[in-house]
Amino acid sequence: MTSQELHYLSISEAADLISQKRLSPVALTQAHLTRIEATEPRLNSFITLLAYDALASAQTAEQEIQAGDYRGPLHGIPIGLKDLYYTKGILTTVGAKILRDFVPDYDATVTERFAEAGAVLMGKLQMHEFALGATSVNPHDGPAHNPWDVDSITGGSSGGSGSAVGSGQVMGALGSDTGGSVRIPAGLCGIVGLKPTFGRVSRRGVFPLSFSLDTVGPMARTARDAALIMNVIAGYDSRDPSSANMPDEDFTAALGQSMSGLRIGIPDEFFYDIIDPEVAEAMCVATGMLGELGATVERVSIPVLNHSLAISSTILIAEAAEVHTENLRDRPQDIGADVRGRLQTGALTSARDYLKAQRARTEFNNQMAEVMERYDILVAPTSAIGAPKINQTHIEIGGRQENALSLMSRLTRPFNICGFPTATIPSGFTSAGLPIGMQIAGRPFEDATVLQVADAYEQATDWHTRRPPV
Amino acid sequence: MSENNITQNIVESLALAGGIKLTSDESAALVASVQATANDVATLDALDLKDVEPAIAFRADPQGDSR
Repeated sequence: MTSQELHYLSISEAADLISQKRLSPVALTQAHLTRIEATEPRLNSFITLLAYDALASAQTAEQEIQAGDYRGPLHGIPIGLKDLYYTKGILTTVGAKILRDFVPDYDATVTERFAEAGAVLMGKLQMHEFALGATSVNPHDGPAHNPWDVDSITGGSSGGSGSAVGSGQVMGALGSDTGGSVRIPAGLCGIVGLKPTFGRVSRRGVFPLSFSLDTVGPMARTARDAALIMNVIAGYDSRDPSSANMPDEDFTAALGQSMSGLRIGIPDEFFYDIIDPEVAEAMCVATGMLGELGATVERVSIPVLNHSLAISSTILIAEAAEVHTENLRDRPQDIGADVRGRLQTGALTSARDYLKAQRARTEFNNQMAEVMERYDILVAPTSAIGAPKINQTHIEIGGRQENALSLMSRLTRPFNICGFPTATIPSGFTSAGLPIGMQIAGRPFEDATVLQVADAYEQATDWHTRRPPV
Repeated sequence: MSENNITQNIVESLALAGGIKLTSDESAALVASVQATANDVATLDALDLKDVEPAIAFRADPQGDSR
């Protein structure tokens, strides 16, 4: 097997080979390090590369497996972590100048779980500063570059995770998602991303952005791989106050099951207000495919979606400003201009407005819960456009100049408000060759159903098998 | 600030009360974003929020009610 074949194996495929002792974790890790060496100058996916540690972990995994101690599908698998996950003894910058020298003295719960599963940590991945932005154009580390067009952004805030997984630098990664930060870069980089149900994955040891919106989620090249990562990272954590005390489950269990009987809604409001016609057309084809696969697909009116941005933005910036009170007061000059402006706006948001947004959120959630009594799944585009160029601010749609960054990042917000599990999967390409993503949202704690639908769509299409030119 | 007509003076007063140091350029630039937030929040008046409590202690619920 060539190096290229190795770095584009799925986790599932590699795990089968490793468990049968037909693939060496050391060889697999070395192939990914070779891929990183070849592509990193153009992608800038990593803030900290852990080549030596990764090879040592791979050697340990290989010895354990040879001795008959196979831990499961992530044993010996090269993965990456967005640089806001605490890693004991390893630099964790959160993409910020202020935390340039921060070395945690403990591991995040998800870091622990990856280690227990025998995964090989390749490094810490590029991100938007403090995760407060959707471009991953970082003033301190430079921009993350999209593997489908290195002059375009990855989206964010988990941009390095998107480019690293999409380009074959790692087999899977973690992002974090407060307003779309897993799904936006996954969609723009042509991979799968899952924002799990709020509370399903521990946030202990994850640098916060917005306490009532933050989630931890996997990014991978297939829905099955995302499910395998969920099997490792999901579960109750008494050390995280937001953790849901739910039984463990096998997120691969529903993969391959028929979609017959599933009811899928396509919201009329919000998602198609301003959208690149190529993205809208791709969604039309994709939702038609879901119907052909056996689901009942119909349009549904959800007017409360039109309040998504007001609710999400007000809560997010107010909570983020509270997190960064000391930074805003003591070191504002060390925060990039875009993030500083958002934090300052949040700091000036009144308690009354914040609470009003939280009251509206309750009403939003009530209405979404009513909708989900009739539907198992909602489907929508992930971004209204393909990845903009780095530093591009506007895009022409329908003869009008629109804000490119808003169009890229607005459609993911509703599902953070209500906490629904939501995946993005590759569902086409623009005429410029840039990936298009489709969101699949389900009821709280029905993450496995979301992955079932994502997997069924993948099996019927080949978008997820296409590889970027980088 | 749900009120309309945010001014630079209002921004500077709010910043002072919140212990946020702003340059004159920053306070001028923030007028638009603070106004945008105020406008956003004002749109929520369209929702009937009588007897609706805030979702501060947020929990996703397995029955689908995410309050």
